[in-house]
Amino acid sequence: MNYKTIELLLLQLEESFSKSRSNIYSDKKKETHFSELFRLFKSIKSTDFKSFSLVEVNLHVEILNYIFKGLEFLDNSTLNIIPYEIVSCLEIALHEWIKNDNFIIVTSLSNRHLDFFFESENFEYFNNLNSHVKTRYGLSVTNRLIKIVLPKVLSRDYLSIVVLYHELGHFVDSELHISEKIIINRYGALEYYCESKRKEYNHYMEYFADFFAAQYINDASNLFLNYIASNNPDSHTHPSTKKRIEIVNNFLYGKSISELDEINKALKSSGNDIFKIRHTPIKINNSDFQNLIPQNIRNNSELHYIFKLGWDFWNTSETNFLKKFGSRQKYHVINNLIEKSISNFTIKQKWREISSEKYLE
Amino acid sequence: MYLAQLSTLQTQAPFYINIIENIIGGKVINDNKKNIDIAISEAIQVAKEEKNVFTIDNNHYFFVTTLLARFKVRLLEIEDHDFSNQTYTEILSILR
Repeated sequence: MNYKTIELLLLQLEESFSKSRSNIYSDKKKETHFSELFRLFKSIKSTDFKSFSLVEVNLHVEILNYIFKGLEFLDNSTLNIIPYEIVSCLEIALHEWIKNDNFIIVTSLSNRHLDFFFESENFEYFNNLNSHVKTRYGLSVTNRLIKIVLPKVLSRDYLSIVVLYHELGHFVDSELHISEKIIINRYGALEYYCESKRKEYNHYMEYFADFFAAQYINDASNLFLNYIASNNPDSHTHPSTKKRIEIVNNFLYGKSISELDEINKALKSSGNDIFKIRHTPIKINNSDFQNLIPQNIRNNSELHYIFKLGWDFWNTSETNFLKKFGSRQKYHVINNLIEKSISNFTIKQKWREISSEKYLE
Repeated sequence: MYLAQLSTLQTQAPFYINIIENIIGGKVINDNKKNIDIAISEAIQVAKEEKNVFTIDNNHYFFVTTLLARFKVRLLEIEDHDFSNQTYTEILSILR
């Protein structure tokens, strides 16, 4: 690698910036992030990069790739694209685990069915990059991007979207290094791990994400899992679906599970809160959905449960009030009611925040 | 036999290489040396089982676990926490 790599990346970024300049973002933080990336790009462009040492070339390739990724996701988070309702719910759950408020959740809509995942540079990488950028250019990047990828066709399908709670669990795990620390504590820090230990690590990551999701949405993630992977056997990357469903059910029933005990011990030893039920059930018979109106959500724990409520209505739609509707209508009624319930709740919260700010003024 | 890493320092390595090269070259920038020394000390403590792995600071997690995986024998030998240029040079070689 030499300075030509930097030259090429700068030219590609120039194109990318020229296309993104007219974007209108859904909040101020994203605008600020865009400006900071642009300033950094301009500073690098004006340096004498042809005289860079190999270390400096490597560093700048990292920084330019970071800018590239940031732009790619900002482009997909303009005002009219972002699935605001699910992002609001995930943000609330995220802040219970990662206390910093320097996150920006951005979304990218994939054309691939069932393409759900989270992506972010980790905390250590972000701090190292920022420290270098500050020293070298006197600039800084204020916020970290968390990128959520979800299929375009399912971006407002609230039955499938439950899987994002599971994916958020993977993100929190990688941020706190819990599954990794469990393996290191058990076998020591090794450069390479044999297949069986790597499998154990993979399975811990899945259990972590399953428990994480179940705290908020009860067994809704299991219900979706049953649709997409009902008979999947135990594999290198995932425990069998049967085992995953079983341990989540045991967690919800308050039974002792060795995997949960291990994860909670690791969470506690690392100075974090432990996994526990963080949702309040809403009974299907008492739900406002029965009257074809959005659910009056009273707090965050009811907010997360709305996805489970949606699944309950879907699974009993032959016998509940939806029975008079056609199949397609049932699907749309449930999704619309969930979406409206979330947006009503979040708008009311914002009003409350604004009113209390005004009161303080 | 199938062998795999849990996570990798690869993308962060250039930042640490840069900091350690500066330390060896006598260029102390901001708190960089202080932070690296804290991380090396933490790796020594975990290697010597004076601290457990769960307490590793997430701010330098990959650096510390890389030292534990590739530099543990040397970590166990280090007594003085005022690290010599030789220690930094050895660390540099495992990051490259």
